[in-house]
Amino acid sequence: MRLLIVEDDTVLSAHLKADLQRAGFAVDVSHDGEEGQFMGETEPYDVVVLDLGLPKRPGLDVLAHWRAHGNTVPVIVLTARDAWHERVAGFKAGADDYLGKPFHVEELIARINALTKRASGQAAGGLQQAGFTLDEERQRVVLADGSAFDLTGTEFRLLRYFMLHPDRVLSKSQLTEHVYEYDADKDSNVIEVYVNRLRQKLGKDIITTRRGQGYVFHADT
Amino acid sequence: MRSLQSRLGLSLSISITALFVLLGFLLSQVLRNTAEGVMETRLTHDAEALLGAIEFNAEGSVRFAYDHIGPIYHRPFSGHYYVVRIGGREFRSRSLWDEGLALPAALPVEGLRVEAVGPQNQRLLVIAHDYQKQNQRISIAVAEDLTALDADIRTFQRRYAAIAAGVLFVLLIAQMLLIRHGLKPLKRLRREIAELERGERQTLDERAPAEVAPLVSELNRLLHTLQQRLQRSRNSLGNLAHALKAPLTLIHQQAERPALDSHPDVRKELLARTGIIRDLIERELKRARVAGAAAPGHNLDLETETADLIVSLKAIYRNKNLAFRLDLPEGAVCPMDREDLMELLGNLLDNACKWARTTVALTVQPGDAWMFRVEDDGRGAPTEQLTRLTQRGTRLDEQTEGHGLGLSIVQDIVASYGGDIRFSRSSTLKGFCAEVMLPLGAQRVR
Repeated sequence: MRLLIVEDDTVLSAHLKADLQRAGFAVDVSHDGEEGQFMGETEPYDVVVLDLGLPKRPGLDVLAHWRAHGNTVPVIVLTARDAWHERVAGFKAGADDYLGKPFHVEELIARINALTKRASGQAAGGLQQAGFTLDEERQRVVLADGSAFDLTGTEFRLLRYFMLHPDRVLSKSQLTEHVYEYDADKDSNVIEVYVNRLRQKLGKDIITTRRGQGYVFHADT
Repeated sequence: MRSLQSRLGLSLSISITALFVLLGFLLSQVLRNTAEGVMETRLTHDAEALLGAIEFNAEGSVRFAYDHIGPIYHRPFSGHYYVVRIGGREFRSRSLWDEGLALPAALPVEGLRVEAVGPQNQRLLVIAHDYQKQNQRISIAVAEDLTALDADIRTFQRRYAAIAAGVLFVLLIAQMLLIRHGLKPLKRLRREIAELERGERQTLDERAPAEVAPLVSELNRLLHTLQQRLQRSRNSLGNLAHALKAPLTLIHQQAERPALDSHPDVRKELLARTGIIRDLIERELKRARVAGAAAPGHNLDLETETADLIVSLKAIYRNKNLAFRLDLPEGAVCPMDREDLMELLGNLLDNACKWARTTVALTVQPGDAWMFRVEDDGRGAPTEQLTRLTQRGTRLDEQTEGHGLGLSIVQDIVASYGGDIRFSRSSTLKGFCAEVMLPLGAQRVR
């Protein structure tokens, strides 16, 4: 899952970035409205956490601009401005959720998870597929027999993206874009390595390779 | 205070009527004076003719040359009379028949002009004068009946009164129309003020007559200042909230850092304190932002505003998949500040959504006092808690974040509008029911 934080407070955004990375997200940060708007338009984010009081361009304008240009990326508005008329304005501009500051990081993560699941058309709750469950909080896989094993950060992000988009052909570059941050060294061959590691842990048939196209995660193997 | 129209109308009516009465009085007076003047001249001539008709013979007896005296003085009670006194002897005209005419013993030098009652109760004008003829002092009094003149004057007065009444009536109607026309700009102003109160307009039309133009522009300036001040204070409060919450959020984040995993008591304390500060900021700043009933009127499309709120609430409580049952007056326009309405309904509905299992109901009834009722099908609250909840800032459930806070903000809004709030058990949905009464109509449209 790749996520964009648009927040002008550098200290807060640094903490938030660390917290969200720990929660298994590839996180990019932008500190002003113009840059944030540009990044949201050019990078394929799965969720955007948007502050409203931004320098250069107000958050609501950024959001309205995205929506006007057909960008449907799920957006959580995270702001200290939480009077009801401001919330209504946020939702009218196209926000998917609204969280007032200060907030609990767990609540933000829960809302992000709910939002991504909804965006990929899945029911709320734990990700459950192919006979195992992905424990998003502890970033590990729980098998049907109750045994569990941990995943590394990249493994977790990759598996979650697979599970959110089951039975679909996902290209290497698509996977790279959603698993790595903006400034990361994006070598798409690395994806192959991680796919093989997931195969080792979950079974060879769980992810098949379509030559020249990408990978398919099978939900019902 | 009485209206300008009735004030102007009354004083104008009184002055016009007084003018007509005075005019009538003066006219009849002039008429009488003129007629009596003519009569006096004639009587003086008659007296002089009478004087000429008096002859003294050798032995000093008096003889009247009757041919020289008009026959009118011979016909009984004709209305023309004379009395001549020569040295203690009195000669009366035949018209007096056997009645007399009181004449003072001595006449003033300039003569006498009196009104007296004559035969057959005739009102007489009497002219008396002393003359000298052949060394004899002769007093002659000539009188004429005023009844005919009185009748003429009464006829004139009646006709005058009739004509004057007609003219007065026309004039009164004309002045009423004139006043109404003259006060038209004021009437428009009054209508505009009523519209302002109902929230159908934001400013008054500056095209007012010169007399009230300063008042209008001053009112507009005040309205503008009030609106601006409210906006400015709201903005600065919003900025303050924003500025306070940023470091608060940071402290909050710090408290949740893994570094504090080994000091759960420190984390707990930090989180509790930041929670208190956040609630304080929320409550006090939101309270300060309430515009209240003093704000100039607004014109809110209740259906649209409610629909926006419900879209937002559905997004916030998406997982609950709540049904909203709305009973709103069709096309109702709510005379209330928008932020206040949003905050009021937002908090009430948010509270209901928190507790509801499947359904939230909103009922609004306009009137002198607007009624807003929000109900849910949650488990509600016990009776003793319902009464306790009406106290300021009482928190019903410390576990559910912001529950008491939201309702206390609602209470602040209700208080600033001079309204009422009641909590009870919903009769239809069996859950919590909050009912707010705001005297919007009564206060703004008198």
